Amino acid sequence: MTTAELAVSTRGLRKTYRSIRGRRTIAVQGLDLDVPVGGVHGFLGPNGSGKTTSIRMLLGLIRADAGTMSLFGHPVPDRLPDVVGRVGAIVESPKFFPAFSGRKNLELLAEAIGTPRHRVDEVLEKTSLGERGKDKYRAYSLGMKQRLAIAATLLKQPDLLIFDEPTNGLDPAGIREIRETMRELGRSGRTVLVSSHILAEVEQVADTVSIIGHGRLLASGPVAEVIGSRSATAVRVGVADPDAAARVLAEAGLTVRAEGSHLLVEGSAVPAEITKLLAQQELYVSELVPVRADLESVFLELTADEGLGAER
Amino acid sequence: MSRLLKVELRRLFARRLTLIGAAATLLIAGLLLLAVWQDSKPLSAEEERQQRLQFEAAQKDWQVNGTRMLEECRAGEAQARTSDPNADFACDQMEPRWESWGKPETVFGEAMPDFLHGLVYLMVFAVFLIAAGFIGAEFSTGSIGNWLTFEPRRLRVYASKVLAAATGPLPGAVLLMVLFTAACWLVIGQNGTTAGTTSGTWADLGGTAGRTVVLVAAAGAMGVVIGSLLRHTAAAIGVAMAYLVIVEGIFAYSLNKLQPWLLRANIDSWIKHGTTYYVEDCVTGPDGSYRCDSAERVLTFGHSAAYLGVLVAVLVVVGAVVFRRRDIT
Repeated sequence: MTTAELAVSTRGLRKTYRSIRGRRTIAVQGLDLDVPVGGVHGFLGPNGSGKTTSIRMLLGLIRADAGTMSLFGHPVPDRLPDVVGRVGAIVESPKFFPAFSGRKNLELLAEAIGTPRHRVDEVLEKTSLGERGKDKYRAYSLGMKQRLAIAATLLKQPDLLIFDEPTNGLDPAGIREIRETMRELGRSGRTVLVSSHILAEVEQVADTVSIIGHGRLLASGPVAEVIGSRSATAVRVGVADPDAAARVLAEAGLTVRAEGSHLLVEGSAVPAEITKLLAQQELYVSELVPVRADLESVFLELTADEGLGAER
Repeated sequence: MSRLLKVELRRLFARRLTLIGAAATLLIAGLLLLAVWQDSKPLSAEEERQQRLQFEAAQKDWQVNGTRMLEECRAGEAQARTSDPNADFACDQMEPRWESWGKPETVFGEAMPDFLHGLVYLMVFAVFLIAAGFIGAEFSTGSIGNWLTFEPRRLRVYASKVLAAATGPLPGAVLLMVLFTAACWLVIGQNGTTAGTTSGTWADLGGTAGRTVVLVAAAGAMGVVIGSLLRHTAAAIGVAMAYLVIVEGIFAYSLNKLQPWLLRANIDSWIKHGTTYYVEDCVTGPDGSYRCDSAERVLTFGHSAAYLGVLVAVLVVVGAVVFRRRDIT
């Protein structure tokens, strides 16, 4: 895949912060990130893993110490002005002028980029803020602030949307709303890069994922592939006599673990084989549930592989 | 660039702090006008009667002791001329005269430059505060980061903010000066006299107003530069206050020869098209005595123009370099 076919590409990206006392903190160390055009791409990592710093570098807000970056094939930050019109971003929390209304904030941004004023009405309607547009930004709930930030990104009609921890602090309804918005944007052909430390969130909205830890890329690819290749599946088994069943399965070479009144059969367990083995011993299965590995376990596995230890 | 400037001007005038600052400036200008009225007000009949009584007493005293006082004055003057040939004790003017006794009439052409001077400092301070708040709010709310994701060309963004703060307040400053001058004309016309106001007087006042406009623009630009460097309105105001108290208050008093290199003296000189300041000249005489005299020095308009121009240019450039390179976190 060439850089032109990628919405985002970084190579060897590095950033070190220095405190006033001279203490150095490496935020990003040699990050290689590729985000394909179209769909939702999760940018997953624990707090402090370098997600926000990477996004800020992509947007020209902070300077990289080393490495290269490109957006739609345009090297940034040098050619950022050429491509910034195609990129909408919310970095961390939404940040607007609190004393101005939501509409006023958007009008100023629209005027700055030469977007016609009627677009402000359109994006306010699209984000269900039409009736509250005249209210001061400081009076908005967190969910409304987040929606206003999305409205601001849509002023540009962008091809790439970058959302940094978009559901932080939102109530369940707000979270669901934002997730649906991201899915919808992804479905509309746009590229959505969503950073999060919440594994379930990325799993629910993303088509592809890049996992980052300690400023480095740990894994990248389609969500299902990253999970499938990195963690073995397991099967939860419900049976009347779990002790006898555990003996039978263990004798057959399977790894068995008791989990309450159930058994968890790990390794390359095939549900049909488990059923057969137990039935031959007149042990009948009452419940058989394949357990898919989630991103959390993948992350723990990846960080263990890297010898980093998960930041939890 | 012009689009950005337009947006910044819109934002400047939509800010509550701008409106409050403008209203406060107007209010204080009103108080200044009250001071002009008070200052130019002629003596009341009762005050004049008291003055007359005191004048008559002084005349009687002069008739009795005038000759001796005159001789003493001339002797003192002669003594002073042994060390300073130009010493003038104005002995011929010692005799009480009624025209120099009462309160002198306020003349518009003579008094107006000083009245305008007070207004200039008020406007400079207000515009600096408004401009520092204008950029400080962007850093404290974090909206500067949002802004830069829409327009990443930082030098353009910086220039638009500096220009907006420099040019935005100018119409208001001009209007305030015109209104204040007109109000002073009416007040002094009522209490004193506007006679003798020539085209030369108006030209001088126009020159002062023109230089004030430049100074107000510089104050706006400096507000943005300092606010941007410190990233906080309160910090910018704190630094300005610390400079006024520590440098202009303490150092300027103890090291008065440094005055040509201090801000206030140069602003005075810029507004007044040259000014004077005083330094203490202390010498040890041949007889071993130590004596200090206050000596007047001239601070030229050219010096202050160059000083202020270089200062503003350097700070604007430093601000641009920092704004361009700074990480927005």
